[in-house]
Amino acid sequence: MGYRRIDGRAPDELRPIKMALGVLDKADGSAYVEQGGTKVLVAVYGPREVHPRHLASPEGSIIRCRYHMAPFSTQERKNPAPSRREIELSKVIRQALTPAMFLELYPRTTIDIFAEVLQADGGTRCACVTACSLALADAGIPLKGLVASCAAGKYQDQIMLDLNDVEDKGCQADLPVAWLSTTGEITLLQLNGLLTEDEFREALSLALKGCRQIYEIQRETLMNYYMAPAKELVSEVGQEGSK
Amino acid sequence: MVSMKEKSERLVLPGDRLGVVEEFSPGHGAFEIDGTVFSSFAGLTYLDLKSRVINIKPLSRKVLMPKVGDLAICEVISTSEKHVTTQIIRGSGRFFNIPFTGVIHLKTIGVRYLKSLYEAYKPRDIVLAQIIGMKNGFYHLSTQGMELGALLSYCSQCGSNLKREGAFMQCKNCGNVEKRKFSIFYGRSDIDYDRLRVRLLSRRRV
Repeated sequence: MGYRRIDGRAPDELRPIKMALGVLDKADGSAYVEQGGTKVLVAVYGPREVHPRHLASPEGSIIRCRYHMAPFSTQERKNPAPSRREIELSKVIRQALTPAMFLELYPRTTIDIFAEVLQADGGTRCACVTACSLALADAGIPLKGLVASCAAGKYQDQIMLDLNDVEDKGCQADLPVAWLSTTGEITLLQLNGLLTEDEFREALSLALKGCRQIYEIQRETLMNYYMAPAKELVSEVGQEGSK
Repeated sequence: MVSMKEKSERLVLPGDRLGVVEEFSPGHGAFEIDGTVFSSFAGLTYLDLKSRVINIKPLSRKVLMPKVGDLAICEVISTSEKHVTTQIIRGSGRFFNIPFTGVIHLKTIGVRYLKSLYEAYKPRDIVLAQIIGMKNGFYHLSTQGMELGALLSYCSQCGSNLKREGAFMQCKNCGNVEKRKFSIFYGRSDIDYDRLRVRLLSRRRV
């Protein structure tokens, strides 16, 4: 048996992942993602009219993203006011999703994304990107592809995938990556801490491997969600044809 | 030859590879990168064998935006000297979750002479209008023609529904008489929007 981590995982193993779509009725699109102890809920609204109106762009839709951690998401109460970190993450999540969207289709509108972290256990920004991309697909907003996201890092001199909270707090380096499935573009790349060039390459390829696994789960979730309505539609078409 | 029905049975997700441009061109819900055709929706593929175009019929929510030429049902928010500001609550045959702002200019109200815009519409009126353009960030609406105009109005004295009495509107509660630019469908809900839209489009150039 090789190296085992605090929670018994192998270095290149993801935490157990659960995904659900259409969990909120009022939102145009919504998704829920659980990655180990990390739980995030995302709602998407739009394309809708921009208020205040001066923000609207005649060239295309604008994206407004809000990443927020619930006060009860951490061990100690988190002040619900948006912190410096949350404002930054809102921006990087928005930038991770923008390359996947056709914004020119809906001029002078906005697409609002609300990502709420219900329970934080490391890798919340990655879980949010994954969930946002699912929620956008659920909202019927045309996408170039799904964006899957996963982090790799260095903990106790070992490069490992998908750090949890304990590993995240004591890590030597953390490398969150988001990956656009269609073109293979990397839409999010951040590095916290120090890595040598070889370590960086190893961590990046490991993170991309994680992204591919998460992408497969995203696909499976969407397939399961749309299988029943698809069958219904096909049978309707079949009945019309036989009439 | 592949039949259309067989082709329509394929469930695809955003970013799924459909084929190459040599096979078919991307239609609704599909796009092309470097000669490869991808899907941009979760839906079913429909290949038009005549024009060699692949379309995706979305299974997810359909994104709705008001379109020029469409009929819109709107609620009057405010009136000023030269235009009426409304919120488009229904267009493209469905209700919007979040309304879009539309403006009816004095010129396109469809009444020859008005003492004031209050003789045409008042706040809270429900108006059937046609979208004639999109300029300066607003949808521009028209209520020219007897089919277009108020569908429901309220008495400015007591707030109860107004009833049409010839060319005027009368409140059944307090007897107050008011003027409106009303539609011939005033007070009716059984409007065939599709037929009306075709009729209006054939009449005027939008």
